[in-house]
Amino acid sequence: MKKNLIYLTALILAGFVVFFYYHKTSSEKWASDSADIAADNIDLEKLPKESLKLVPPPQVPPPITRKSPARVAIELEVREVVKELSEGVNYTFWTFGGTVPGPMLRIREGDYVDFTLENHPSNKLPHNIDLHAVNGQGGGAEGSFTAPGHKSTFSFRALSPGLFVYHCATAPVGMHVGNGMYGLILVEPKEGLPKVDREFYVMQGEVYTKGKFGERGLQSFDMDKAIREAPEYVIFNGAVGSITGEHSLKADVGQTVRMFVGNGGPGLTSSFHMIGGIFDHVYQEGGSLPILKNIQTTVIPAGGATIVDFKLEVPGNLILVDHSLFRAFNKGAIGMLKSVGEPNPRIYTGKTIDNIYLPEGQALKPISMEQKVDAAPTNFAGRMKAGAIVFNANCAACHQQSGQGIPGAFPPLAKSDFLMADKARSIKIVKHGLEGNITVNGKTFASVMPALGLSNDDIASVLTYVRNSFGNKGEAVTVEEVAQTK
Amino acid sequence: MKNLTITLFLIFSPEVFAVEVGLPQEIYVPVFRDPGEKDLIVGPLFVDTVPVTNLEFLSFLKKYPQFQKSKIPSLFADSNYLSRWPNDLTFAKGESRFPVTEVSWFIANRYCEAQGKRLPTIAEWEVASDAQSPELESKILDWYGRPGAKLRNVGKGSPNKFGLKDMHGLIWEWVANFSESIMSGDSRGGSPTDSMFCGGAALKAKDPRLYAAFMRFAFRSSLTAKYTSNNLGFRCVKDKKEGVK
Repeated sequence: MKKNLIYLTALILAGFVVFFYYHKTSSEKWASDSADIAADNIDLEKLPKESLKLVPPPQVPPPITRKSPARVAIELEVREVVKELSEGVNYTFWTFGGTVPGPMLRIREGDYVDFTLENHPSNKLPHNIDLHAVNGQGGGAEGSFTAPGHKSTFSFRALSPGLFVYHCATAPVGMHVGNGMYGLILVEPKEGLPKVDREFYVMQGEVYTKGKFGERGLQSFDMDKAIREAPEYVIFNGAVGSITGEHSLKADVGQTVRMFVGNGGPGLTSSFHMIGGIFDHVYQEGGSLPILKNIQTTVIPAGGATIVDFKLEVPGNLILVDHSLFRAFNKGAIGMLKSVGEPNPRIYTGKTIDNIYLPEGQALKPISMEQKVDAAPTNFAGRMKAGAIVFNANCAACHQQSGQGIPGAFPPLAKSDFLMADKARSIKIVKHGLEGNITVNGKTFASVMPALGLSNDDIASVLTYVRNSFGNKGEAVTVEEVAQTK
Repeated sequence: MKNLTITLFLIFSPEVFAVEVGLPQEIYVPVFRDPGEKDLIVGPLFVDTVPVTNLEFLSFLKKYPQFQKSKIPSLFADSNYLSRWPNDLTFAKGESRFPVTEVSWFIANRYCEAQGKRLPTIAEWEVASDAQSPELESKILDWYGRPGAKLRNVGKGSPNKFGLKDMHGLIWEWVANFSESIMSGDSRGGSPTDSMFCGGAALKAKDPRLYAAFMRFAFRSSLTAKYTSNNLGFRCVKDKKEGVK
């Protein structure tokens, strides 16, 4: 009975908690940028008119200085053109505005856009455009579906700020996008983006060619590779090397840089990374607020975008890659931003030491494997034979093949008074390493010898070997002696 | 002797020189279909061996002056109608055997009627062109993908399995019911006209790998009956009545 009462009380309490929780959240009003604009009832006929001037990538149209919406005319022409995909490799790209990606469009939140898509008469196919910034059937795809030699106009209100992909959406959609029909449209938030010194436009995409990467001539589309999502090319701005070498993006040390980065796909998600720099702010997936700080690699989905910005602190070449590295190394996904200016060693020195590196114990594993194969030596000849192998693999790099050492760096073993004077000490050194000054044959050495991690058996062999080679003559070292050495 | 007779017969038989090729009755499996929609029976038909040429079109225009480019009402053809022709009754020099292009559906239709023929349906064209055979797919796709098609004399292409020429690699061709392609402007489904494409297409398509077919249907869907295009021409067909050769 008492138990039941406890259950009942707990249930009532839980009920209160749940009620309170829902009561609390339901009191918050749902709100959005887009709903506010959609409901603002401005007179579209009275908006000031302007037309957007298109610039090719990697250029970005200038920031919008208007403080209120406008009626913006945008005309974009579709052209099917043969362009260089890589040196000596051509491909028939289908383009918006003749470039891959198509020109970056820049409007402001609340603008009313009259969008005209022109399909050049020499084209063979119908095309259209889906702007991810559009609320409406197909993002405008339905309103812009156009036969060759014709043009279509539709209008839309930019309700949501952010960086959006646009692309062709005519069947087969993946092929139209894979052939280059993608670009970015920036809808600037009302308050604009923070002012920066330089802005660039970069867009990743894949090309599925019949020929392998680098195979010369006019390449055609490979449907099988496309369906398998196994492109021969993954590129920035429409061609291998479009933004490297003399075409690199350039900015000065001390400048702030913003990049509008899109991924046309059609298949792959990009792991966008800038080698040698860190993104100070990332507007993840092209949203209108920088929600991430201090980012190394940011994911850009196919049909998605991101805005990154950062300040150039030191000179150098910042390399843009898809950090899925085979795409960068073997398929072309490399770009470059040249940072020009004076070095600042307080931030980065460049190389300050250039020296020879002689690794220790590099062949440890093969040796121990060899030891496992051969039974442990029991006689002197066996010790000498095994010792030579251990010596060559672990000791000769520093002490040299004939045990003569390197003056000033590595002490000699040949006719070494230090080695031969104390058998127990030499076992200890090989077993545990040695640090600090020693004097060998009258010369002082200050190097470090690391513990090599050799087995007791190997130590017995190698010490027997060095104590009886290079003009040395001494007692053999036994496994028991090594084992007893602490 | 018998062999020679047969050979001579074949050489001079009307089939070899024919401007038309007989198409036997065939079954057309729709590329896209709604639930319950059945396969279509196509033919038997006579199909023009090659597309209609400028020269042939000229004699039509002489007979029907109302379709000459200076007289055509804008309702029946857009402003690019016959724009390769310098004037009403002159085609470009050296292009007499070129396929006539920049002709609207209305006029192509009237041309065929004047010959006692008609435009082929989508089903008839798809069967006659053998366009969905896997061997042709990649060749056709290549041609569709290349802009700025160069026109040339008709009949230079190799005949397909029915003996028809230039059904690919030269021009697009009007079909009678082009508007039944009902591909929406947005090729990925969700359209008010119940799209057949992309999302929708994957559900309804016979084979979503028929990329060339997708493009052909997309092209047809982008047209209206008064449109003209510089690589869009046509050929005519006529029904083969039982007992009539």
